[in-house]
Amino acid sequence: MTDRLLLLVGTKKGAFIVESDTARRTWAVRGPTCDGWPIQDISYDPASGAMYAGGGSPWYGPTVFRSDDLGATWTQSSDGITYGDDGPKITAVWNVTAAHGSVYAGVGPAGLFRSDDGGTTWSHVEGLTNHPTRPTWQPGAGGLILHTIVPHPTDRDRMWIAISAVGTFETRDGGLSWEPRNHGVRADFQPDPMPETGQCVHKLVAAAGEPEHLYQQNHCGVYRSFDGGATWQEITAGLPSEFGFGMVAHPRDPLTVWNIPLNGADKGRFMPDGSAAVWRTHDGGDTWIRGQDGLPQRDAYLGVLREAMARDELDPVGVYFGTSTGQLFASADGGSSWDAISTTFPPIWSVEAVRIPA
Amino acid sequence: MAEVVLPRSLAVLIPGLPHRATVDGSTVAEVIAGLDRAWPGVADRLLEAGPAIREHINVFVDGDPAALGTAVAPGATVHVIPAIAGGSGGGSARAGTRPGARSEARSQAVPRALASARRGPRRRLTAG
Repeated sequence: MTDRLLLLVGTKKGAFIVESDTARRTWAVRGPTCDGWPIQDISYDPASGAMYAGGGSPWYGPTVFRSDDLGATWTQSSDGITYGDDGPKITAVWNVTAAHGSVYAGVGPAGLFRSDDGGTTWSHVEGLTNHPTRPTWQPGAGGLILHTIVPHPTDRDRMWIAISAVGTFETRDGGLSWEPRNHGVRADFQPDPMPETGQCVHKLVAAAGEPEHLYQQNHCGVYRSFDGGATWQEITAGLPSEFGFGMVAHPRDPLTVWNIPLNGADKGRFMPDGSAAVWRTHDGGDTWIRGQDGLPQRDAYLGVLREAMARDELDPVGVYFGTSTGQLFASADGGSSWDAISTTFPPIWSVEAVRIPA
Repeated sequence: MAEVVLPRSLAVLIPGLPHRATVDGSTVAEVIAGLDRAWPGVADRLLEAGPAIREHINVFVDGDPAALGTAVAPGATVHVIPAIAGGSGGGSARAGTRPGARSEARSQAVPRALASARRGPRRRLTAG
């Protein structure tokens, strides 16, 4: 028996499990699961073997689904995901990330919740909500959303989070206190283009094996940091656009990152010139390579959202992305060539790749 | 005790939740609390901060639109019905939200009991 390779796909109309093996040639689709709920983020916790899916229903509000049988059945709970009766209403869970025995949920309006019992009950990480800059937080086009959670790989008290139109924050004391981590990141839509907060971070990823080495795809460029986000260097040069959402880091090489530039915030937010491509760097962002073989090169007005890129841990690394118009693409050679797994999904909001040992 | 009629879309989220349940409570709030005691998690799906019934969830007591404080008489029928919505962007509680949406949804989401009654001769649906 070979290992299984699962793609977890969160969409506007439920979560799907797309399965292959390590050959990555043929794929089988299961779903929709989670009763067709809009799923903003779907992820896997290798420590527990649980899948988590976070979303928000227009009828039933926000919740986190959990599956312990690789997506065959699901339970859900939002017990504790609330700012209280006097607080703003939480509309959706935008990110679910497991780390160090806990599960974290990023929500909109922006805030962070933590579960220590596998998602059954949740507690509010008030230190972030009560940050002194909170009164200045303004929503982006998609809302005031905590969309990215990057745990430190070994220090359970350290974590980075990202909020649209607010920026990146880091905690070093388990969430009690937080510091902005936006120095060097442009916010061209602000009167001060280099504010302490107010940057529109779209995606934050950690480089493999180097906890202080981070990358981000921002509304205003692509950046890297070598000091845990304290300072950022812009690495947009060589890309066709400064704008984009998705980004994934290589599982072993800290200098390799993939992203998908889109043609601009007010220009349609689709791949430049209607020509699909996934870009990659192998030198930490000094130079970029366009990967396009197998992707549509004409009339491809495709957009990819922040959680809709993934990579596996095989060698060569497989890279995957789903579009907001329901196409799912896969590369088994690190992004050089691509195949369409499906072109008929609902709008795709999240993709995750999971290897299940035989 | 009131009879509560619950939608499929809620039952699939809560283990063991039936389509019809008999619950004690003299107000809608007490009925929901009773449901939540018997089937934990129901309240989180029906209520939002306030507390208030979620914007796109309609509750009727004996066919009349109800709020959390609405009285529930013994033997009453309480319908929980998700508002009709569609065609707007998904993934957000703002989907389908517009001025008057709640009242419009109520006018559309007619409980089956009322709909079948209206196909026959007109008659009073409540006592007194």
